[in-house]
Amino acid sequence: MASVLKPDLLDAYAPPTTAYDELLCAAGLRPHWQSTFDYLRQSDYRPHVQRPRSGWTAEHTRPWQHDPLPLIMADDEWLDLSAGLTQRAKLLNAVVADLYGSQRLFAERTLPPGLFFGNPEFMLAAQGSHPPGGVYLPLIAFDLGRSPDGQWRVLSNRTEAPIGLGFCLENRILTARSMADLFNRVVGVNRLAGFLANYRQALRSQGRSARATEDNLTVILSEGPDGPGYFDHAYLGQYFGYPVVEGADLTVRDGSVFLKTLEGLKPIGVIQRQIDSARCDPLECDPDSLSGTPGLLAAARSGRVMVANAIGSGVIENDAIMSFLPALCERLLDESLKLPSLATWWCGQAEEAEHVIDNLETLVLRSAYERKPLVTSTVAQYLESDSPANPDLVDAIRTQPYAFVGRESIELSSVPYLSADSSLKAAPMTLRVFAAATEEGYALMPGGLARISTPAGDLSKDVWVTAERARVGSFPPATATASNLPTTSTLARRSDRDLPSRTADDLFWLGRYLERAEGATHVYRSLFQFLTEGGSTEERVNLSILTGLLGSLGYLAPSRSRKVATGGRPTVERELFHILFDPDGANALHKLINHIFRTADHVRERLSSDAWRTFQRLADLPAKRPLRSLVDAVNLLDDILQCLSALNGQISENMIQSYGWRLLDLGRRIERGLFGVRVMRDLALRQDVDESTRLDLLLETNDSRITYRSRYQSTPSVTTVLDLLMVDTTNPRSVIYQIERMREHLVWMPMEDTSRGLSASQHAALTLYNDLTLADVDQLAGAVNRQGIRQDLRRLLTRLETTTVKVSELIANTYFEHLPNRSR
Amino acid sequence: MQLKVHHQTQFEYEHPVSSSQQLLRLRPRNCPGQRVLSSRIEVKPASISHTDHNDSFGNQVDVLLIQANHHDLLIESICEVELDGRTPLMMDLSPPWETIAAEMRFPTSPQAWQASAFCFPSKRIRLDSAIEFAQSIFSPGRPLLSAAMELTSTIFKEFTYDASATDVNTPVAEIVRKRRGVCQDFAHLAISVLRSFGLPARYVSGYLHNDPKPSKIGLVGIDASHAWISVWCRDFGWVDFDPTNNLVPDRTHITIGWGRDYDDVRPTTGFIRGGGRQTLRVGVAVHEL
Repeated sequence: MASVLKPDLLDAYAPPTTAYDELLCAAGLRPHWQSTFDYLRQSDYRPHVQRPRSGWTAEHTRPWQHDPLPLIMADDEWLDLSAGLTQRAKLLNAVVADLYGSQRLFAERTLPPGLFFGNPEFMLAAQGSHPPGGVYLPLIAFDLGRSPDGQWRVLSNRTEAPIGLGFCLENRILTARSMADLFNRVVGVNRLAGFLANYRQALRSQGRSARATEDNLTVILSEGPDGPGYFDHAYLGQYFGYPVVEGADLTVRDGSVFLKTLEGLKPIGVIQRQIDSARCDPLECDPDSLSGTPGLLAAARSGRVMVANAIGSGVIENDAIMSFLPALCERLLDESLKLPSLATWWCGQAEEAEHVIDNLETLVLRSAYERKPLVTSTVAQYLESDSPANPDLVDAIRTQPYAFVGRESIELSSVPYLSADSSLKAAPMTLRVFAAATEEGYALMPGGLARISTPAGDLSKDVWVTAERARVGSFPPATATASNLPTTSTLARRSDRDLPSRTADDLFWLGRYLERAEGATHVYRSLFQFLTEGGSTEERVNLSILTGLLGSLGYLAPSRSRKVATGGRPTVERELFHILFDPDGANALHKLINHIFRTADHVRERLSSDAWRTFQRLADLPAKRPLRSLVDAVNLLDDILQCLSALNGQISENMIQSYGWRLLDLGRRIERGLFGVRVMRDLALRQDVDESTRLDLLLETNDSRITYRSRYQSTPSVTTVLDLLMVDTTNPRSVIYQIERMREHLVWMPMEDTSRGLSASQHAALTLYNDLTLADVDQLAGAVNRQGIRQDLRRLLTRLETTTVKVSELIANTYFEHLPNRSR
Repeated sequence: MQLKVHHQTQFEYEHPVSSSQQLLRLRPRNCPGQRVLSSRIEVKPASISHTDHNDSFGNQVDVLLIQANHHDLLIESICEVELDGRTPLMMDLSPPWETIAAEMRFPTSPQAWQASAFCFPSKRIRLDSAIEFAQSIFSPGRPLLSAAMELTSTIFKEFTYDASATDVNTPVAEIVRKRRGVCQDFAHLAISVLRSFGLPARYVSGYLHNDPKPSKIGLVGIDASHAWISVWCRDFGWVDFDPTNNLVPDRTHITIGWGRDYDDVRPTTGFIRGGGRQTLRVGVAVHEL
């Protein structure tokens, strides 16, 4: 949606009079917005609302849509925030260090133990942790709100597994792109790259002290593509070049943590933890949890791996701690707390409990220990106003007072956003910002994520901190180099030496599914094309050959395949959708497309954004295209083929030719070889009157008709077709061509035991190769038994199929063996 | 009195296990009235990595990694401990239970704030499930220890020991309804009651020695791991009660460790690859040296 902002930008902008407005003050525009509005008024600006590249479905990948208008923050105000929040970050780190260390704060009665011992987030097993440098919380996020008096207040401290840096980066890229001039010349915006580089640098050196060696990895520990934060993890992984892993990818040996890779175990120095503490270690964190890495907590406790943030950090991510921060700050930092929190009263104390009970009408009652979900719309929860005071609540507070906290409500400040009718409207806002431990102490990222609540749903905005004045104080210097910048249009360029076995497994299967779908598409296209052009006496013969093939390859369930063969064209037209996407087919086309998308999602941080978009397009095709006629079906299949070949190009052109690429291609070659063998067994074994039709189809489904014509310039004969499809090393569709590629890849694969010459999979591939090169095509075509079956050919095809399946199993056993079995 | 314990735990798996990580809490700890003379852990098949540490309660933890295909796993813990007799408790002289409950909310001494860790709900302890059942025991001003003793006796009298009625995951509410259970259930029940009144109670895991004295023959819990509770009572410190046998342990109970509930002191926590269905056999032999 592109549109022109109306000349009177602020006509429709009517912020509530009771709230602080970020844009306007009594005198008009606040000064730090002036240049932006001058520009918008003069430049005939066309806001281009870009859909985020991840938008497969908004629910699945991205909780907030993007608003192109940034929040502009003046740098002097930002410096105040920075001072307040870096102090708070330091304080929170000191509190966590005490809770999991000496617990001096209890002994000295600065903190009541009930605040923690009743808190399920307090991970007793994490006590005694000593992370390198005493940094428990390398990254902290804060949610801020501005009250009507203009004062910023901290709404929540996010210490457990702060999420949102990836969203910030994406918003920055989208906004900077859609307002390039404004971003680069007019406002002068503080860049994020310097902050991120310093953060990465600090983690790196903590990893070095954890491992006492240079040779260690940093990984992002994620719950995987099914979790709500995966978009963020994949984005950060791509930005930093860190593998995104799951608990099962890691193993603990002798107190150290390793990543299982194709080349064996690689030591890990830093784990950026993006999963809940409770799910980290089934031995110690939660014995009922089946996820996580056994032994991880012990490794973290001993300091031999840096877990960022430390396991158990969620213990202070609650509202109850807020009222204790001023005293803690005096005690631990010998300073007064610079930036206030939203006022809270923890009912674990007698007076506070009474205050809350007396003021239930005005206060918001919350669970004292509850951590907010990692991904959530925080705006809405501050908009909910009053909770009714009912006697049950009072009872509950009196029974377990320590489980409740009362919180004042806040009227959030308002900020402009671009509404659907292209006018500027006002919406309430919260601001998420990030502080990271750098080598010079905590630093606040000059930017963030503003989230607003609009009638059309929640939106997120980029935050621009103006750089009009000299940068002073805690702004990190912009030391960004080219390598720090995000690579959004290219693949993550890194070696595959740290390729996790699970990712390798996914890439291998991605190759297989892509090729399997391509085979299915070719066969279906032959069917529909034939039906649209057909109508001859051959129709029934052709139809039964094709449906038989669809059935034996598993694209159609056998019962439906028979039904179509007898029902003919009317049945096909009537049941078009279910024939193309048979819900009962073992390898039905829509299942294959789903598998492709899901597998691609698992390895998303390794895919270019172009490739990812193509995957999305492919996944959307079946639902989006009309399917009313045979012509529709042919068109849809053409589109699917187009996507598949685009993916071939995008993957082989853009992926570094290392293990991952080799495994993906191995998957393709195995599947294409199997397809060729299986189709030949269906179409070339029988010698009878329909042979020429079947040979024609054999060429067609193997995409070799044109090659055949240019090479033989004659009607297909069994000998020439077999020659072209089996043993012609120059035909990229021939079986022998697939085997040659497999053998090339296998030579380069690591970790195979080659002390005795060939590895097992190389040996099997050589058998395949020998079988084919020694095959006499004339003999195969001519040796027909009494039932009219080419028996030598049948034997050879069976052997080829069995051995190819064996190669696949050997690859799986060699490279993915330490993974739990996954059914495919 | 010196005692020797031989504790065998055997897992049998339907399918071979290729890798097994085990976290064990099988070694007795030193504590008032108990000294550990020796302890060792042996496993078959042999482990390739074996580390030990103390958990946050001070219990001894062994962590093993076994990487060899196996159909069964044998874990043996062999230890020798010396137990002292305890001086008789003047339970009626203990402070009123309300005093301790109040101190738990705003603890003043290090002992008190350490004890306050055991006043709250935990994974297997909910606070609302049991309180009705014991309302009359905690009458106003009642000394804490005599209330705890009556709670112990009441559970002993009103509940039937029945290993078939419950399993390790049975919630306290169901135990109250069925009036049946085993030592672990009775311990969880007693803890639920005490914590519902804001009192500090912990779960103790260990072994029972069948005292040769004729009057004590027939204690329940011999030949297996045992569980009981401990209550904190200011100057009295932590005082153990065994609701399964209606007594205050005296040279009969060997303490392995304690925690908020069973989860904190599971004898074995395993993470295995493969295995399928598993059967578990446990044998405990305690005899006097």
